[in-house]
Amino acid sequence: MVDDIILETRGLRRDFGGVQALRGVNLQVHRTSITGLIGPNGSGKTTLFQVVSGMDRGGNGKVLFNDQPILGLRPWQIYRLGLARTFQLSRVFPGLTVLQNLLVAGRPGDRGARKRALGLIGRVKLCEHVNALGSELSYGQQRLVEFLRVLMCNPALILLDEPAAGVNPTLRHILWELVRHINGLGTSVLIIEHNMNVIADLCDPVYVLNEGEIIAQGDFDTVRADPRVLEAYFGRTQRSGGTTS
Amino acid sequence: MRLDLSLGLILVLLAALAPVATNDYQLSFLLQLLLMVALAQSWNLISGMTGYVSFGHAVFFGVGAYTGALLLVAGHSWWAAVGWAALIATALALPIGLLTLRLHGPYFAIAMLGLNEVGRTVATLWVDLTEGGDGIALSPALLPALETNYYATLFLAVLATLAIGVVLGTRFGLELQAIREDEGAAEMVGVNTTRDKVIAFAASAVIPGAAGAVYAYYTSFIDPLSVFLPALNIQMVAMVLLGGRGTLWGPVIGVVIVMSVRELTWAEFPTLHLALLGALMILVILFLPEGILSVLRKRRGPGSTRLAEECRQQGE
Ligand SMILES: Nc1ncnc2c1ncn2[C@@H]1O[C@H](COP(=O)(O)OP(=O)(O)OP(=O)(O)O)[C@@H](O)[C@H]1O
Ligand SMILES: [Mg+2]
Repeated sequence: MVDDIILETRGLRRDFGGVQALRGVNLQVHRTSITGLIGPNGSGKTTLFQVVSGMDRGGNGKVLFNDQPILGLRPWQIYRLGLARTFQLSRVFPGLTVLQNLLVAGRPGDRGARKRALGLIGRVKLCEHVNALGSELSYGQQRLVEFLRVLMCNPALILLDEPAAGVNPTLRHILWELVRHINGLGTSVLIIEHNMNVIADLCDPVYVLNEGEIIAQGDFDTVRADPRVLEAYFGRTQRSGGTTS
Repeated sequence: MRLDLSLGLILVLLAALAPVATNDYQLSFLLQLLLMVALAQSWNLISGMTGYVSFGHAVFFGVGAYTGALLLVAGHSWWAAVGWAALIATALALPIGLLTLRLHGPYFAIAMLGLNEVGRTVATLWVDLTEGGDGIALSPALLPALETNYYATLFLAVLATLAIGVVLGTRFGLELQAIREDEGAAEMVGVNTTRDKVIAFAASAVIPGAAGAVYAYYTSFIDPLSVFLPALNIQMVAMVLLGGRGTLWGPVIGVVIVMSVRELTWAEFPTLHLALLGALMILVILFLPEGILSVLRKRRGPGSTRLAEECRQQGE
């Protein structure tokens, strides 16, 4: 069932001088799944997104999107193929209105873009801000707009980098609902997230990245019980298992 | 949009009637004002829209001036020479844009500044073609009348302003602004940033090229320093920032303010306008960083509510 896989990385590497941020990452995202990507700070999660999305062009290895190699393509080409991503720190266009933020991300020549944009804005209850500038929004609203923006091209796969970080509970709820909704419509999702409840709730399977390597994968309960994961997250305290002191 | 169009039409009409009601001195002033509008709007197209601040757009003006002067001397009609000036400036801008637009922020600005110096140096040293530092004096017999030059300049100013108006209403304009706001994020939502920047850059050279030629006919004499003029680069930047970069009317307002202050003061206080404009610049940058026009933009009332209503209906 090879064609069941929408995104695959094979032996993906990224070296920053001495720092090996990715050391041969093999990862598969199944079509219409919500796949989780977790790992301690600095384990290489964002770097993986940077390389896969074409923003970081220093990666080596293979990245297949719909069986097509995409390593080396420009970000806008990858986006137009249907692979979109959001950033760990929100990057709305501060000087453009909410509507413009969405319109610019639509497919060129798409006559339904305006309608689609207004529909998306309405869906997350930001209508009163439709003409506000990106810079006039709260941080949580900005994150939401950044998310809506990439939905404009009806992507087949979305990479979300800690989408709920810095977002208040109300908006956070809207956000997760939206993730479920678009997933229900057939969009595959790969999420970086630190909140384990969200991961347990939303993601299957889950990949665990540590120091640039995938150290575990599977459903959340399997991964959570994996001793390598415990070690990566909790270090020596867990490994020693209470035998000291 | 409709307001912009009406306002534009009225201004063009007034400008078109000006030769009837003015003496040569006044018409000459208006010509210079329109020339600056044409240049400021061209600069606005690349730098105001994308944020790639060019400190060397006078290079296209200079190339246009020399092309126009030389072709006129060679026997071409003035309007054909103006066309060639635009074409050659644009043809030059394409490879230059491809090279320099890889640079960001101050590096791009400096590269363009350097380019203007290259232009001036070439014009100075290529004596066989340009008569070097002596400059080119055009014989009055060849030159179009002041009115003709005036209307040609008016045409260029209108064209440049119209271009901004049209671009602002298109997806291309939105893409250029997204590049200004956050180029990486723009690329990540499907904007082919390289293509957009190069197109905008090449387009921003068309009118300076033509304007250079018309300017040569207007002054009847050009030399390297007068057309590859460093001060012209500063003026384009200052006028657009003063009025409001990336807007339709901002550059026009900036030009009118700068030219009026200069005109009103230079006879009695030859250097006072520089001090006044410097002070004004500082005030605007401190209190209205988006330019004078941003005062109007603060009030976005009725249009917003209508759009919000439409949005609520779509969101059902
Ligand atoms: N541009 C860069 N230059 C040099 N080193 C970098 C660069 N980007 C990331 N790194 C390094 O690569 C490693 C992985 O960083 P990355 O941002 O991918 O981690 P992360 O898993 O996303 O962490 P976090 O959970 O804190 O967001 C870190 O050691 C980081 O310092
Ligand atoms: Mg990260």
